[in-house]
Amino acid sequence: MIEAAAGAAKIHWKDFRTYAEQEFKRLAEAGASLEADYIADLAAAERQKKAANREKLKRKAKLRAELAFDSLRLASEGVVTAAKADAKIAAQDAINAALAVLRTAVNESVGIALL
Amino acid sequence: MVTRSEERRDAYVKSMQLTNTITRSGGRLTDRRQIRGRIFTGAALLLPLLLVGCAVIFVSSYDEITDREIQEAAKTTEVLIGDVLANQTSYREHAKEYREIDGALGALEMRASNYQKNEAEIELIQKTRAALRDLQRTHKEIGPFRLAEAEGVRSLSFTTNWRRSAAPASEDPHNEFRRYAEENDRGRSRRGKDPLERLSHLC
Repeated sequence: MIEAAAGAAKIHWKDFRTYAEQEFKRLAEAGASLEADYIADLAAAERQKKAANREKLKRKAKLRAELAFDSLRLASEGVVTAAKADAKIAAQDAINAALAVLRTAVNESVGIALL
Repeated sequence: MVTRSEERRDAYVKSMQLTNTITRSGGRLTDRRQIRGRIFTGAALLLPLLLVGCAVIFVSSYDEITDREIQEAAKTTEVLIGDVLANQTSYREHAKEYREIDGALGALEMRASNYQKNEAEIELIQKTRAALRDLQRTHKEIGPFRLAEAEGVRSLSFTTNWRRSAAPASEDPHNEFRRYAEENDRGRSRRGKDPLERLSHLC
């Protein structure tokens, strides 16, 4: 029963780890890229001769970065949400795997498919 | 010679036996202690049977319609992102698609809320909608978005799909979306087949 439960949980953990590592890596890369884009946008704004244009571009760069970082924040939280759900599924599968072993044992001892 | 006190004791013992005796079945007497013992034995035998007979459920079970609709929304989102990244298309050209995707996700959220123990899925759909609104605002108020700015929506799209599939990531057919996204990033979409046609085998 313990082996069945551990097996079910391990499969989930392995799958989840691969997925989470990939997603967090991508999100981290995107974060670094956003930072570089923001610095480049600010530098481009600074090159403007007219103060009004400069301020307008700076505002746009700030809004752009804020929206993009908010999106990344939501995505990171999404991975955590998926982790929590996956942990529940792993627990569910582990318990059900253990119950299946017990069910088989009961059926065998009774001699009929009682459960 | 039986004394008076012995008579009293016998009478007391008899009355106690009579009190404990509550039924007579098949010629056998069954007292309260025996009944209690049998109840405990029965419960001890039945409890594992009941537990074994039931499967525990912590997370809502698979729903084919939700799965299909989530894939469809992810596909439309990826086509939109791919087009904007590759062709720098304007917001006006995609305004309808943004509305359609948000509407589809809204309907999915409503459907998901009808199921018990489905909080994770509802939360993921809500986050995808919020991230899509961020992307839409960037596109509308600033202009065509960049690759990194779309990563949040893409990630949530994949996460929702991944959660639904519950299959190993390496074998997951939904990774096709990721592969398609990577091709888009490299600017191959201009040369390849129509994006919808390329993903049609997934749904």
